[in-house]
Amino acid sequence: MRAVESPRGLVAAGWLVLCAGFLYSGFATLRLYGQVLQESVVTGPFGTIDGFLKPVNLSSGSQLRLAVERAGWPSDADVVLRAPHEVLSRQDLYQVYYSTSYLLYPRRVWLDSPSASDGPTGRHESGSRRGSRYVVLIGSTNSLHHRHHPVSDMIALAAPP
Amino acid sequence: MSSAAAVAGAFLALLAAGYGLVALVARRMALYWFERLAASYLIGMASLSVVWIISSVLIPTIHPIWLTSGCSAVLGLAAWRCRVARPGDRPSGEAVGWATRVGTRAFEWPDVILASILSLEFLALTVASWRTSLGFDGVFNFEWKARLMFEHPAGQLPLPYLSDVSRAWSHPQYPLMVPFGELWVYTWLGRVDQAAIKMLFPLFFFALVAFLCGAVLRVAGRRMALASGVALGLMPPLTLLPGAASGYADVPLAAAVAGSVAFTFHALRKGDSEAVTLAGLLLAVATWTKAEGVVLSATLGVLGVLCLRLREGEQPPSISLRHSLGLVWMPAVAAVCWLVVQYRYGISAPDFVPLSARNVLDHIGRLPVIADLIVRELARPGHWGLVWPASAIAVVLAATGKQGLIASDRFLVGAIYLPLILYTLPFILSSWADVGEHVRSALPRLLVPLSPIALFFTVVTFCRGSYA
Repeated sequence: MRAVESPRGLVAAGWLVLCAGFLYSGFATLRLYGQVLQESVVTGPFGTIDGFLKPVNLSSGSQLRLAVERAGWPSDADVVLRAPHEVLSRQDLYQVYYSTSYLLYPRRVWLDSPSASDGPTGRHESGSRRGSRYVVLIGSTNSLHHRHHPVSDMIALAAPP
Repeated sequence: MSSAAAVAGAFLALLAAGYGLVALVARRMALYWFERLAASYLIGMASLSVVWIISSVLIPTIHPIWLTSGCSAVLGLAAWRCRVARPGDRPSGEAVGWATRVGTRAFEWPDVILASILSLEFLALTVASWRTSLGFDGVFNFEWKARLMFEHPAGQLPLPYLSDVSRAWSHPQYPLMVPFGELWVYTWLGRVDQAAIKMLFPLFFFALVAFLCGAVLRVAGRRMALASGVALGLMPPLTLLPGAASGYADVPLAAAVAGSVAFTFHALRKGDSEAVTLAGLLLAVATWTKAEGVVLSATLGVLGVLCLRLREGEQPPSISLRHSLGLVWMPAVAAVCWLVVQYRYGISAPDFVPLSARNVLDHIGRLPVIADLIVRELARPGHWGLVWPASAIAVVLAATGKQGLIASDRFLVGAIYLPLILYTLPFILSSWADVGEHVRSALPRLLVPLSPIALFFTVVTFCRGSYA
């Protein structure tokens, strides 16, 4: 109580709080730097996007872009990224969806997944786009149809009829 | 030209433009070399982005890089000639040439240790930036816009992108300073390279530290300035995530805001009108950096003008109303231009429901949840090192001191707590199913620009208490 009444006491208490806090956050910072230094180095011009596509077993985003170009999808196409609920976590699903949209620009990419509706960004009008002819499918090898063009064992392009 | 030389050239061109503008605006004001460098970096990037946009719209046949680089060279040369031709305009005080010396006292061993730790922090951050990938928002909200502008033949952001509902999640309504900085590197490099742009972000952190250290140095001395700089490097949200290593716009915004607060504080104490102009320019930079920069700039601008004009019982500042209003009109110009573009071509942010009385009444029950999460975040030592509880002690100390809250104190307290209150309100209108998740995800980022100001106010107040 005396410390609160005396400005000097209050100042000393304030310095103590500040120093203790920065000691704590300093250790937290060191721990985070330790984690960063243990991770593998991200390289390459599109290194970040390549890393985001690891959940669908793609080593590089250019594989998906080249596959779409080879398939001759027009640049103004509406593309649907279709993913069953159980295949990817919500975080991974959005990561792959955003990366696909980044890679296939200027094509518009829509997400069609049961987990899209309960997420923060589950407002993508995916329902109205389900009839699109251009579909990127995410799934295990068994679930991919023989008519699909695989890009990896987790992702395939559905050929337009 | 090798990649390293191209990137170095891109940075030098940014700095030359900024250096020219800062030299023209602050001819007599005593700036430390690191403050001048920081202001040059931010103001150079923002001003070149404006030249780029204007030239890409008005003269689409010539690539904007030529006109923009020409402007940079002219501004750099003009500033150099201005300095040579007008030696009387050297900064006052401890001025030597174009920068103020950092004190005259020799460095003692605690200063050397603190300076070494600060240097190590910069080194660690640069290495971490280099090794890690850009963060989620770093790529999809900012880098993507840079890539779109780079791939456009006239260097423009394609207007259909702004209204594309399928990409609303990438926040097309966010302003373009950070994407422009990345575009600038890509253009000098001649290709998209997500690794090369990572070097932009440790420099934003350097700018933040420079502004804070300069402000503390003026009122509390070199050692306290170095300690404050070290403390900033010990807050994970400023360094790693969503900090400077992630490619997010929060640290650039924090740097612009910290610079503006530091110069307004200096103007309030010393009546320096050039400091007000620099503060106004940096508020415009903040507005051009991130969406919440509009809220911060409006709050800080109005608050600054009020504190400059209403100083009952205190020595009136020798700053005219015309100069004071620079704190309002400079960010307002930046905000209005961008808002007009958004109004014409943009779409509403997907994270919030439209503002209406009915929506507010329907969701007002979220307020206790939001307030609880904010208080918990402010008290989180692993994020902010207890700077927020310490700043609350500082408010009590300043308010109950002999002088009470003087104008500069009122400005700092308002600059910290008014935006904090304003931040709470939009979450009421969150469109997320789980508002708690929305607050937890956004709040650390929203506090990034405010925490350095809280630290500054705390240090200033405690030091005044110690000296008393």
